[in-house]
Amino acid sequence: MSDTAGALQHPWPDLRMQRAGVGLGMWMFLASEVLFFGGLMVSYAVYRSFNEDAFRIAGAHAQIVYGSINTVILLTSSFTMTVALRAATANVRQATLLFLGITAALGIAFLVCKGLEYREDLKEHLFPGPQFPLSPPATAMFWGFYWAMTGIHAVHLTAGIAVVLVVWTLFKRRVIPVQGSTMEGVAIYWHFVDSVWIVLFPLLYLAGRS
Amino acid sequence: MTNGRQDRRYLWLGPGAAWLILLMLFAVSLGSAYLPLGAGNLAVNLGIAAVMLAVLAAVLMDLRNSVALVRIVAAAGLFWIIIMFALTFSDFLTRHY
Amino acid sequence: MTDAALPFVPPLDIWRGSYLDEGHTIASWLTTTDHKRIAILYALSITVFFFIGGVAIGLVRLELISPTGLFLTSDEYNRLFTIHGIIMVWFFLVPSIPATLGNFLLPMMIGAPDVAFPRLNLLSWYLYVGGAAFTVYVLLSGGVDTGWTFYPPFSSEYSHSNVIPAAVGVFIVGFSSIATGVNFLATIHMLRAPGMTWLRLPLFVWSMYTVSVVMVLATPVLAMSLLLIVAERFFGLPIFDPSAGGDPILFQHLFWFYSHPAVYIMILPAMGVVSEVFACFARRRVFGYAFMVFAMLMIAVVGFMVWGHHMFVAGQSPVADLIFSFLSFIVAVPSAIKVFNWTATLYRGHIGFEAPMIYALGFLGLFTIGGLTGLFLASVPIDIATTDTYFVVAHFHTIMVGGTVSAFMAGIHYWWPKVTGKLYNEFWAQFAAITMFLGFNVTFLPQFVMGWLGMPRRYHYYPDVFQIWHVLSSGGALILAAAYLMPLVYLTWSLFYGQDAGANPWRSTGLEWQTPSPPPKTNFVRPPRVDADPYEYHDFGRTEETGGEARARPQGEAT
Repeated sequence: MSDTAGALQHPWPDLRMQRAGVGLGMWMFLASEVLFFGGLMVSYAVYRSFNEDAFRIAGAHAQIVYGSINTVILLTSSFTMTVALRAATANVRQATLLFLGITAALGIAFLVCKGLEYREDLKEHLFPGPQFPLSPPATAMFWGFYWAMTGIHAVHLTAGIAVVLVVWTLFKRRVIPVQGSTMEGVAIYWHFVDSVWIVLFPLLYLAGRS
Repeated sequence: MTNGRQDRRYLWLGPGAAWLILLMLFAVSLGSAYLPLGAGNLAVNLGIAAVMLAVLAAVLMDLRNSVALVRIVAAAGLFWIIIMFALTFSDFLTRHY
Repeated sequence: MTDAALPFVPPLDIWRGSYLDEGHTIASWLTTTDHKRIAILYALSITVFFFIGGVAIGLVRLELISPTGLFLTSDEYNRLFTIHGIIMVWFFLVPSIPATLGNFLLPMMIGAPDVAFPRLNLLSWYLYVGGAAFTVYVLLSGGVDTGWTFYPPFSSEYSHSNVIPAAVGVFIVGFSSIATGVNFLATIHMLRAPGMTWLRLPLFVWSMYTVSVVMVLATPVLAMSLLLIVAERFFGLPIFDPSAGGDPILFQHLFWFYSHPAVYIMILPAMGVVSEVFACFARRRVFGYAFMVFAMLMIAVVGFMVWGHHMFVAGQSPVADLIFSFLSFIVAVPSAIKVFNWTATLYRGHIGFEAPMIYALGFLGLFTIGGLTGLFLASVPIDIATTDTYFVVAHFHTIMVGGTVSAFMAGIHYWWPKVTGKLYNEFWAQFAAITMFLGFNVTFLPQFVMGWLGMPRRYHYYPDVFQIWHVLSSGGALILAAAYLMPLVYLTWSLFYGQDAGANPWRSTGLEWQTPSPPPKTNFVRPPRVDADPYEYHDFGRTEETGGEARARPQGEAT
């Protein structure tokens, strides 16, 4: 099972340091991503603090069922991703492939569910524009954030799914060994995308439920 | 791996527990949103989201076993976002027009 | 690793040619993951954009000779200064020192064979090229007229120019910054040579460290602010639209959360370069090394908390004005520490006026002028009077262009023998350095004066009383253009006819000089090891008696 020979990349002296380096680099990128979404969050916070009522009215129209299903899907995918990472670290190849596959499938399920939800939203003309049904005007602001936030999150998730599928293929064809540093970075990124959703869910779906 | 079962359990036991906790927290958050707490709703929801993030980061992202440097990087993201919120709101909360 | 005193000219049998000999085809350059070659790719691309941006502003300066314009429509005028700003900020100044000198030297200075993620490094260049392609498209399809700041509601609703491609270009190039930043941070943390402790890092490496922190944490916010502009303009999401309760000032908060630290992205690397140059050409240890390090760290952190000083008249609350003004004064403290330490480094040094040193001294002068006028602008009452005047224009050009370009040129000349293995013509280099300093001041001192007298920035037509200042400034720009063109000629000439430089023509102590010029692909012939602090110039001064070569530590123990 010691097929780790091809895993070491220039310029790292050994695989342990390389894994640490990839993990560190990914965390740095995530710190960057935190600030990326931070710009969105601070804008939301500013507007919500000025338009409390409008955000409640608008938030009541978000599709809570789709949103909840998607939360469960994504939380589960984080679980399967962690199992995949642990399997990879322990060099259990079959389990790595299996759980990585499940993770990608759950990611796709999320996107499908999101697509159905978007269709419902558009049926109700909840995209800001001339036919937008709600008032006061700041409700359009809430829905502006809804589309921007979920859209950017979906792009991140799509990128995550693509990376997982590529890595899965490379593992399957034994191009790179599962025990290398690749899974480290992939897993951390996936969990980050999940974390973003954990914050978005209460902001977009739970406003104005009571 | 060679000595099978024991190791396989390690693969999913810890993450599984974290997963159940996350689902439970999610259910609490969802339920609480329907209680008429006024501004308290948002506080509860965001508080639970923060706990969920902590569980996710500590267990699933394995921050509890990581080196100090990685924790510092994670904390830096948090610290800079606090700068951003604090100084932006120093404007918006003190406007009187 | 047999001897601690690092070898300067390795035995010829180990020497297998430099990184330049690793392939001569264009494909070998476009697919390289060698940090040194990527640095050169970056250097060539930013030079192209520097001259495009320069031509744009050259036309603007020519136009401004007459109070009623010469040959441009007002619309063309707006588009020219906008493209000048966009190109110079994001396609020249931000990547200038980090992506070229930093890429080339950072691994060598810490004794590493390459950056931590070589393929990510190449990707960062391709992202730059991708962003640049959008910008070229903007240029060819008629330009953009929002100013480089993209303020809504003009950019989101009213402008009829190519706002979206311009924003997308900047968005993409931002990720090249982030990739470079992540790469540098991981490299400095993980790949230092044995013995290279944190407080033995050359100050240039520290400057790369701090600038990377700023790049990684500030750039994403710019990306988000531009994305929201695109969301509003293209998708109609009313994020900054006042009719739906939106606030255009919020955009300014997000934009300056990046764009103020961006100034430090430009100036921190410059500080790193001149620290190296001052130490080498004054043959002195850098005065107060630890203070220099902490000053840079403080600038990097506090630099994030001052952005509101761009918004004193924008409609921000007076309380916020006060907070941001105070914090802006605070950030002047570490900058002043650095200026005093550089001066103290020069004190009683054996100063030689080689070209890099002249450029570095030019930096010191311009940085001081730009920094002190910055204190004027940090003060709310003065800023209210001078907002959006040429005083502001002159201030930020002096510090981020005068400062950064002077230091960039100092660095290019200082490390030119290392990068290319050739010596440039010293006389012409000194001449160009002096010309640049003079040209810069002739261009921008008149702008300080007319700004103080009330000449607003970005105006196409102006009252006759300001003409004398505009003509002076345009004349200065002509001198400056000559100073920028000269190095192109004599540096290119040196590539073909220059003398061979040898490993260490300046007798510097840095690790990057302890390897052949140009360096081999793996940077070092054998893995280096460090057992001395940086800048040990005292031991041998300027004299030739030490055998003409500096040594990291002559009495070093064999290991």
